[in-house]
Amino acid sequence: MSTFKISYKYLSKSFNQNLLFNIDHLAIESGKCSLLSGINGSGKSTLLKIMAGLETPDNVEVCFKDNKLDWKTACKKIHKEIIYLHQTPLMFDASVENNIQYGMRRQGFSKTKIIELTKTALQWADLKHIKNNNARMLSGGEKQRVALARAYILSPKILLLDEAFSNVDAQGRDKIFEQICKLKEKGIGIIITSHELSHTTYLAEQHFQLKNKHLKILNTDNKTSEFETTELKLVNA
Amino acid sequence: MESIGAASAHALYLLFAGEPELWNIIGISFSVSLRAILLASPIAILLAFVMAYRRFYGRRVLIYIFNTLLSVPAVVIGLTLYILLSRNGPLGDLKLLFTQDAMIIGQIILCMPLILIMSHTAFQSSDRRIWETARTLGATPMQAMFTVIYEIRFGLLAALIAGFGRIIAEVGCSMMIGGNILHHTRNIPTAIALETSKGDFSQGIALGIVLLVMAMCLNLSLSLLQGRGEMI
Repeated sequence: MSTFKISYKYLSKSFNQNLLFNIDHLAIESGKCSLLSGINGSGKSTLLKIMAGLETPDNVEVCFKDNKLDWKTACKKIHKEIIYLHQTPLMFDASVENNIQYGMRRQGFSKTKIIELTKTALQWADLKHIKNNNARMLSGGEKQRVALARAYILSPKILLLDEAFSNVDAQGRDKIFEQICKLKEKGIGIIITSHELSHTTYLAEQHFQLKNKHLKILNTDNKTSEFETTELKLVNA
Repeated sequence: MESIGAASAHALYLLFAGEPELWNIIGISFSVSLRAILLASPIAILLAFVMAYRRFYGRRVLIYIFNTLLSVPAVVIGLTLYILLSRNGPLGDLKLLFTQDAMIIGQIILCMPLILIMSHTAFQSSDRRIWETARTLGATPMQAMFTVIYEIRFGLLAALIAGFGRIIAEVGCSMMIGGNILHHTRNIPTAIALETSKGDFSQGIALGIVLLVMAMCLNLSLSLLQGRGEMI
């Protein structure tokens, strides 16, 4: 799998003329797992949505393979390669199977490929026994697993996980953690925002922190101590 | 003047005996109103979607205009169209006055604001994550829009039924620009108005029964549709 790298320069976003953040440079690539931390309201979700092309920034310069792209062209590229997962994933009013097939159908996969990949996804996420259930009726953890399977089957280069461990019990958390590990092994780049630092410490190789409207990169060899410091900061906040 | 009981019995007889004149009126009514709703609803839903999901200059003014149009009486729309379509009017050359096409235009103007405002409310209260999830999973803006429409389908269906209810029972506009011509532009409400003024209640009651049954059927089909969870 070739490395996919995309960078965002001079990225800023404001709401009602209040600046949310102003980031000089942010580069993400496939195969790497990064943690994005920051206190509530610091703009983590907004930043992820901008990176996924779902929210328009005030200003940005997107670079892909050393080419500067305008926002519209960048969005087309981004939608193909980057998938964003909500904190509480949205399930379409359909069966688990149909939810998993949604992206494949919209992207014009062949019928046989859809059937084959659906089987793989159901097995991968251990959802076979509930494949005919309406996805809206599932528990929080199951919904999160359907959302992960729905994204995984489209083979994205980067996955943006917004608080993937929230609203899930310990057992569900372990299952999701297991799935994220598998995604990482497959070479998919992951950016995760989470307060569950015990899980993400193990996963992440890079740590971004949104603080005072700027993005700090806490990327040292002494990873654990950095995370412990952040954890303390978050607890104090 | 016949008694209500006798008129009602005669009305049922007319309906079940398949009285051609009566069924012709019913046919015209449904044909005109269904064509109006089929033409108005895609435009209204699309506009409502754009107004809810896109920010553009003049959006609020547009909402205000449609809200105002919502409360314009049918007879005023009929009068305006009559002036426009009459022989000396600016659109007189089209020779549309007293035709079914003119009635369709009038009914489109009548139901469009209602469908649009109700659809707009449905879109506004829809979960933004539907659009975002669809887009991030690779749906084109058009596909994502259809996904949102599907997810809020009951709200939109209610808007369509309300729109249809407004035009199938409206008398002022149809009377003015349709002319109430038998076998041509006479529909259920104009026929009821005419028969009542003549004192012939049985046909009026028969047509009233048709409207009531139609309202019941539409609501029944809406409640039957609710709860089915298959994706298109």
